[in-house]
Amino acid sequence: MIEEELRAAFARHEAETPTAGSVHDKINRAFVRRKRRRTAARAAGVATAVLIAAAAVPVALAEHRPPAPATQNLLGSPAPAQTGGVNFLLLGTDTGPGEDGGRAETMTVVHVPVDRSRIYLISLPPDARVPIPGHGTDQMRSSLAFGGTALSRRVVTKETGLAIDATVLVDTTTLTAITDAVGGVEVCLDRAFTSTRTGKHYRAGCQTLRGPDVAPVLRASHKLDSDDGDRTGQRYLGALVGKLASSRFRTDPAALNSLLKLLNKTGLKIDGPTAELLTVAATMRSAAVVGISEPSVSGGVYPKVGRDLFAATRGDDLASWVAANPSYVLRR
Amino acid sequence: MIRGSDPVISAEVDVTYQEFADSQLPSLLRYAVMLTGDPHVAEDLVQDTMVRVQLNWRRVSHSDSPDGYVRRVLTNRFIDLRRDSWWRRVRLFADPDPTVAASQDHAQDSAERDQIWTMLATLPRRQRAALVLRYYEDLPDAEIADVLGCAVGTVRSSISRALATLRADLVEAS
Repeated sequence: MIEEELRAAFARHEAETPTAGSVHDKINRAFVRRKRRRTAARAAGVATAVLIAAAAVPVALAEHRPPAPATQNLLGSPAPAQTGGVNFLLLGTDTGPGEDGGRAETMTVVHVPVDRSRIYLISLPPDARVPIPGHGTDQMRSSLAFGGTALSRRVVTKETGLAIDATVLVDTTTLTAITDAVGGVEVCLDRAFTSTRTGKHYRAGCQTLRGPDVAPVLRASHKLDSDDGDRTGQRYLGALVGKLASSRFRTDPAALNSLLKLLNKTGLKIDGPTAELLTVAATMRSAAVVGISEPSVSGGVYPKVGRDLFAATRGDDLASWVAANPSYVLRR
Repeated sequence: MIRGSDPVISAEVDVTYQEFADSQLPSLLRYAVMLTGDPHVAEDLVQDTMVRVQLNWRRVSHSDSPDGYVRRVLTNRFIDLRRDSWWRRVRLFADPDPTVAASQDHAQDSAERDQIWTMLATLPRRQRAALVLRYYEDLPDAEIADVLGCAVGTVRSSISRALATLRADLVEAS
């Protein structure tokens, strides 16, 4: 019987199984590496969205004042010219100065709806295997190394059906520059730690982080946080948003523009109409950020809900989709 | 001044994940060896899967059946990752050309006995996974369907097609 032969063959080869102990250690080491890179890159990507959100804060504040007649048309809708929903692609890398550019650690579609009510961050799985024009099938993140942001953009459009208006590439040097530009941010650490790279000691509790502190703290956040919540990274970003919202960037689009120019000298690279992105920012009505990510790790780009999700994005109706799919929405 | 290494690094280990890994790794590795036919590829596949599981541990641990979930992820990655770079790299020696294996290994006693193992490598990966799940893991068809994410009828037809291929190959080779 072939079935019996099969069982016997499986049983014979059981002895080749590697021992669990050595594999266990390798997994833990690989995990620490991945986590460190992911945390830093994710934070860098979100920070750029935050920058754009920060420009929206004055608009949000203005709403609390009595509406001036000039800001309303006959239908009562907001007066600022609206240019339709906007999608841009944020690519985060963990390369520092002097390191080779390479694969994207994070890939996020940032969608700003027509009503400018919030910013949606749709995280794409960088390791999903997808067709890459001219390079067969590979991890989606490799598109950046193969053909730069333009190729990444093509691949994402092909996978999601979304027209991408601009791509934004950021790395940890971008965060360093933003932090310096706002004069440092106040962050509370759960534990003390010493950076293995710089040797600098950070005490537990609240303290002001300067630009050069950002990379060491974000890289250490995988061991500062007790679960996979990237709490330190979130606190840092929360503090950065607060600082941006209370700084001169809030009231001065020109200052924001000059900050973006400064950031261009770091790892930040914007392919697309920067001026239009800033126009979008200027018409934002709120700085609320909604994170969407795939709860499954089974590979593929939103294999279960992708069709609905991306159709909702194209149809500018993500609010309904988010309400109907709470398990895909990141807790804050 | 250079200080000593970070004092929190060893304290900060997710105990629940580690317990899960301790209990699941041996059986996952065996399963991966049966799927891939090669201990090195199996190790890579398990490592790749478990790193992803650990990165998403909170969600995984809240799912109905974390071990079923992990098995599903590993199986899907096995089926999907055939063109992955590490797979291709290892495959060069892990996956001998079936025509060569069938004729040259003929002489060797042990190789002949292992013909069925060699032939497993020629099956479509989904079919091989179905065989492993039924004849190694001894799962009922409904659970196999769950792991592979397909209908029970599809499982049965995959298995019968796989068995037919193996039978035909064995007849041809003998």
